[in-house]
Amino acid sequence: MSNFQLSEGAIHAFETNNSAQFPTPILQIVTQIKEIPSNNNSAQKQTRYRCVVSDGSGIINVFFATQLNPLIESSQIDRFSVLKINQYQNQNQKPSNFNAPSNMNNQQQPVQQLPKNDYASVQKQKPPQAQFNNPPPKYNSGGGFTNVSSAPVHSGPAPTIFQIKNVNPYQNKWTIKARLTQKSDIKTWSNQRGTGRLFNANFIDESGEIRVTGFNDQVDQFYAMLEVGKVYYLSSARVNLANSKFNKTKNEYDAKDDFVDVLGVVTEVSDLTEIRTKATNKVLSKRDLTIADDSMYSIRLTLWGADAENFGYSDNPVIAFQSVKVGDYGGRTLSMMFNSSMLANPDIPEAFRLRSWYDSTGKSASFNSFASMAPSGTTSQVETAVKNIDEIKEEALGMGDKPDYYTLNATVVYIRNENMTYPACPSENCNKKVIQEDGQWRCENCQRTYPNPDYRYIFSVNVSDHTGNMWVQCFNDTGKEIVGISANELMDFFENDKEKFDSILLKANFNKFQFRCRAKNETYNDNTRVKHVAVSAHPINFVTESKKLYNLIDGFKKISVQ
Amino acid sequence: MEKPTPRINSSLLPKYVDTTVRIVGKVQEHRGTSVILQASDKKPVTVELSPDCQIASEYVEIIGKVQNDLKVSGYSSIPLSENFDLDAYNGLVLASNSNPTIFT
Repeated sequence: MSNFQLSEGAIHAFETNNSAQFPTPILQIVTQIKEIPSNNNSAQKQTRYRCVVSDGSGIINVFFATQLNPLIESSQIDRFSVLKINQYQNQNQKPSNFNAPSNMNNQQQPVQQLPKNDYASVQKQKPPQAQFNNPPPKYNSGGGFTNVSSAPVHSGPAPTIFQIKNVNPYQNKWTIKARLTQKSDIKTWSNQRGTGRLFNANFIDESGEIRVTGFNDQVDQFYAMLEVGKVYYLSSARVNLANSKFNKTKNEYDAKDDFVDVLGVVTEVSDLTEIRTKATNKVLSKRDLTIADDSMYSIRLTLWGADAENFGYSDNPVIAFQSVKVGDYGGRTLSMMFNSSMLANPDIPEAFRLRSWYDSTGKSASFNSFASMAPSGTTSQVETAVKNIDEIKEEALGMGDKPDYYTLNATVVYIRNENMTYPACPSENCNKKVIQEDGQWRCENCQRTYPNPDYRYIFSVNVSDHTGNMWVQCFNDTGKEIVGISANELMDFFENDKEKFDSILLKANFNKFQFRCRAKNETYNDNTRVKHVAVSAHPINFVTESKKLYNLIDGFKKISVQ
Repeated sequence: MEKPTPRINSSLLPKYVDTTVRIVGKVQEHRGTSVILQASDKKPVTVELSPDCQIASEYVEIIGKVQNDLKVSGYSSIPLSENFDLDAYNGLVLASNSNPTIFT
């Protein structure tokens, strides 16, 4: 066990011009050391090498000074070597072109090598701080998996069994005893650094879950030996911080509640279909199952890839699914993901109970489906989260790159009553502003004139709930809902009956609506502000809203009793 | 008026004997000077009417005192609209009774 500590923060310091804080940083090489392809235009006489190093929280490109070449060529420093860098040069230009020597980032001078570490790769659940590149690791001799159920033979002292939650990157003499919950297919990768094969396996013990990756030779060595559901000893693996992009296993920091475990009877199996993914343009097979249980609800669950192709049950099996994603596509649906697993007819009491329930009564029952939960109607979409005004401000909705959608129950307290409407083109689906010309109204878009415009609403309302108030922009449909009459009618009153106009707007105040809003930031004159647009507005349904409130109060009661 | 009048349903009557309460229900049956309401928990409650407490609508709120025989002696009545939702009201009854510190 080596006793070094990487200079965490050094790379951030390099990038922010504070490298003086780390005169002799300790960094670890995390990629293969690569020869820099020679550039015909430059007069490079000697081979140059580069690699990526990590300080435990970030990575950076390093170009080695040529006097270090012998160290590299004799493999005295290699991937995973930990280096103490005694002298280096920090160049701030972004390396837009690796071939040009003038774009070097760091230059290292004499290097003192620290003990070399070979450990295998385990991804430990931590918030994704480091973006390790999952390098193919080396096992120590004697390291690896031992199948517990096949009576392990230990010549040496019994290993110290760690709980999974205690596995960390700082101790590497550990052994875990854990049950394999999931094993991926063998995948091949190919990138600039070469090609290879890998597989992932998820292990679980009473303390937690961990993802293990095996590369290349380990695929041959261990893949066939690992069987889902069996218990293994696992040791001498290298612990990596989890990269959230590749690893979605549950853990205490990142316990996403949109992944659930579910046990149900398969009531329907669809045919295998193929879809082409938008992102990667790959053809992916999928199969939809409908599962149900004695809650009398059924839900659709989608299998992908090999799971979909190999699904061979037709006799209404009870299946336990682990870590399936809850989606809101068409009501509520479940989907098998990367780290999901399924086990048909598991040997657990709940499964037997469900089996006998289904065979006796469930078979002929009709189930409530979540698909029908999607609210019906023309403007209704997927249910959006209900927020109060304080939450909208606190969560900075609309400040991100993408617009945020939310539902707000609020009371109209003020309608900005200047320029509430604009004269629009009356032809269907045009809605462009028309300009008055010789008593006629001209639409530039349609290239014609009309005797009368079709007025449409565009105004802001100030709405309030018990936590605050805010401005919401309304267009024609939401405007009509709030004012109660069409924009044409309102303009008629505006021109002919000012008193009536005022009284209509007055009456529109202090009505409660359920707004569905889109929040998006806009920059105007260097000022960035969030614009909230009401996509729809409906009078509040007091019966359903009181039920929701009651459920909230009831839930609070249960929490406070605990 | 200075004392709070708890909102209750039929099941809660025994807890509020000798107390002035509010109870909302749907008129089921007139029996001379009394009326049987279906309270928000869907169970019956008998209200004894008085000149100040008459029934003029399908859904009604009664303010009255719970007697030993669990009948309510009506003091006053408030007519409610036709689309009154008794389930939602029962939620209020249960919530207010389980959080008495807020409502008394």
